[in-house]
Amino acid sequence: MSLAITTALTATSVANASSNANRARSGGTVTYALPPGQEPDMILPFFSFQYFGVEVQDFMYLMYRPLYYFTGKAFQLTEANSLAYPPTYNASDTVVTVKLKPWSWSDGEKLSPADIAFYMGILQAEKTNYWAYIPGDFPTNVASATYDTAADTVTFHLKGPVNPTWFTYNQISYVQPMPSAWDLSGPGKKSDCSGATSALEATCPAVYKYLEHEASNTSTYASNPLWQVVDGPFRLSSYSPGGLTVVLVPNKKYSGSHKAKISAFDLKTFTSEAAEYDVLKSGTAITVGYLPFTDAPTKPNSAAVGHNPLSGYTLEPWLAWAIGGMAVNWNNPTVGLIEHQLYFRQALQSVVDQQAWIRVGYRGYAYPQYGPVPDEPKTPYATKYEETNPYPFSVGNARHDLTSHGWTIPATGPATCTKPGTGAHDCGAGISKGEKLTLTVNFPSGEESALLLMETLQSQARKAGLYITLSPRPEDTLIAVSGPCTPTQSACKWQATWYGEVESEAPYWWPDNGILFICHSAASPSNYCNPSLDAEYSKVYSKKGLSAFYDVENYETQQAIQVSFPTPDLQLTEVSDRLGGYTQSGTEYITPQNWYFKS
Amino acid sequence: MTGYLVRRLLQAVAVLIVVSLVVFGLLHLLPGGPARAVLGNRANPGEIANFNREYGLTRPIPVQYVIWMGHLFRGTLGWSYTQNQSVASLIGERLPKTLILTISSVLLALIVGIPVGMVQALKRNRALDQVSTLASFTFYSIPSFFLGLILIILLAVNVHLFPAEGPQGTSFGQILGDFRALVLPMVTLALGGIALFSRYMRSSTIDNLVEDYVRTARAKGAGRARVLVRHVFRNALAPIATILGLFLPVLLSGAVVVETVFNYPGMGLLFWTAAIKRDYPTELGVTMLAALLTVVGSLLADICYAISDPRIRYVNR
Repeated sequence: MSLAITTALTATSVANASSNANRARSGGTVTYALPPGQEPDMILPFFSFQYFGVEVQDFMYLMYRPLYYFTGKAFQLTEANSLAYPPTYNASDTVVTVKLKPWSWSDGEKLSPADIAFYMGILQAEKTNYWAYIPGDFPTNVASATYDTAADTVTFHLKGPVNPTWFTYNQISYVQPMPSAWDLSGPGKKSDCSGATSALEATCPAVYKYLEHEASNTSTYASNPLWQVVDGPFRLSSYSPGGLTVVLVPNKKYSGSHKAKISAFDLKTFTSEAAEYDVLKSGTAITVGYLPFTDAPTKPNSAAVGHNPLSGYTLEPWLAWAIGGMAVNWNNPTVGLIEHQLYFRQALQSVVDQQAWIRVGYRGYAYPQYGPVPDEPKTPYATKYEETNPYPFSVGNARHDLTSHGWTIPATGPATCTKPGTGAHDCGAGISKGEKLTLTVNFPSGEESALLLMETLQSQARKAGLYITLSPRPEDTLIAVSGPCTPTQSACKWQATWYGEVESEAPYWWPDNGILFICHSAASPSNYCNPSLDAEYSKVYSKKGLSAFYDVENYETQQAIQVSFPTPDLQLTEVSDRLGGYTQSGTEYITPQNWYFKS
Repeated sequence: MTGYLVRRLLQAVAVLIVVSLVVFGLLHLLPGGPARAVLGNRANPGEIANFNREYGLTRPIPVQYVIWMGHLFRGTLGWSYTQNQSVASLIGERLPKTLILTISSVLLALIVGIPVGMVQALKRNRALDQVSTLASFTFYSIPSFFLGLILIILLAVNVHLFPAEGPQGTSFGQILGDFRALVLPMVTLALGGIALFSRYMRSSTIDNLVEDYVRTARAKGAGRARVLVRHVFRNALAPIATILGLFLPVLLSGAVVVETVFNYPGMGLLFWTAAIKRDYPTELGVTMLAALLTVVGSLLADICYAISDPRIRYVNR
């Protein structure tokens, strides 16, 4: 009996101690390790691609909130963190009304429709200086907008009907209200870009010019009163030029429901993953860091998380909302016509041993990708057809695809076209007799794991008669030489490119991936163009529901337009055991206002 | 000497102009323009055109060169394509870090390497010399990134004697104020220098020890210490001065590895990042600085050579 009482008391006291230890306490500095070479070096939340990076977006969103905020594993619109209630659409989906929530800027000004008008004015005037703008999309698809200050609403009258989900997730998702305190065309010179009832584009270029000028003076980021007007949970406290030191402190006037408990948030930059890992290992200087893939023990297939080599930290793999893949150049004058053949693309997809890639290149921290929509995390977007993997790894299938279409595979050397022609079992249009099956693949140089992965592909492809020549190139050259082109241009020499990184869905959270597949899309280096698919995409964007979305996805999967590769985790996050409230979202945005130190 | 200096300075200016022309030309010969490399593969043609217009990349290359020379003379060195700062400001931010690291490591290398080399020469072919030679070869052949990692694991991760990263401040005061954090990167960079200087000092000392003037000095009754310090040491230093002058730019480029390993972003890393992102203005700015250091280093070496060996006089005075 006494033993039972003692045990019960001990259990109670342990539980209490544990609960006390996990209680949130106020204060403390969270040091957050940024990926190597990434420094938040832009503060104006209206910037071009040259400053784009997750770290810049994180840095800004902590201070300047977007109109709508998306978090969670299924990338839902999170009303609690958004500045407006979910948008409402009229019956014909041509008018969108956004009602702002009661929210204030840190200078005491109320968030108002004029702040959206200000953004719209700048956007209309400076589209080509804005990273999120896609020609033809928002705001080009908006016929007019009205700003009702009394009702706190903004109404967009669209040029045609839209799919409400697409418009909410991929168009107005990146609207960025800007405070009236920024409506200046020079020091102390008040302007009128944020007209209360309309976006006054005529005055906006001068305002943009002034704001851009102020944002180019990085040495004044922490002291310039402009940047202290925030509506997010934090404001900038300390900043050294170039973003090498970035410290944020809580915005005491934050209107959101989760006010920060920590006293400071330090975004720490690193020169390399190895340097970050050394600091992580050497003590407790980093609160949230990351384990380099090369240092991670391989995760067993059955486990969600593998062994963590660090004590005092919890390993949390960060699932990316992205797709991995390789672009093949449909316009290449040498192999473009071969790449036009479906059987070839199927064969190419069949020699990608995704499980080997996951094991060898990513230490188990990746998931296989079978089509143009992320297969993980599970969302309503990936179709059953895509998830069932229509072209599983099989050298035999790849050989069959080729030999049944006029190619002969010798014992050694590349396959040769022996049955030219356009029949069902011939090599295909424009492919001549004796043509050999070779492909040059560009990939990033200087990364051992990338070379290993490419050699795996090369080895499997060779067994199927496809001879791949590997062409490692520095990152800058890789991107510069793998762009959109026409067959006659000298820039069209590239045949296939693997960028070594995944294509993030950000900030277009609805993963239709039109930017990769629509004719002449800037983000589609493969030069793929199919007017029928474009017509289907117009349905995706203009009709309610997922039916057209699924049709497009299944078609792209079946056609293997882009060779699918596994999608690795964004990073292997190491979270200090002293930190509570930590969560991570595939949107890649961080929420330190929810984090706290355990007492 | 003055005439010589003027001629060397004029030569230096010519060298710098040639370097700038060659580097500028080579950068523009790279396949694909910088716009896509900087903006990424999602940039649309409008954004690419905007970028090219903003940075004057649509103009003829000679015009671009003249504009860049204008930036050079104004001291801004142009505007970085990726880092939202002028190149001069970026260099101003990173240079103190690299200067402190390289100067302190060179000083350490000299302070240790020269006496070690002399002692080796005096005890040549004995155990001490053999051990020092072995150590020199070892340190010289180990890549600095590996050496750095070993030092971090031993002294930062296992023993917690030093931080695993270099000083994180940006000014001279902040960096020097965190001297403990400077020790590991400094030692990593210095060990190769110690090996190099000690080897040169050893052979140079051995050469001088058998010179006639040493025998004469001894015959005149000079003590061993006096002979070594007043005569041998001074003469043996001449090759070190030459190496030291040419060592400065090597250190600048060699620091990139140490900067990467020790999270100490200086000039080497600035250049590396600019190179992989095609940030032409930053690449040009750092290259010009490296060229300037090479020219100045070489000039200083010649002057030091003359000072250390009064027999050397420059012709055509």
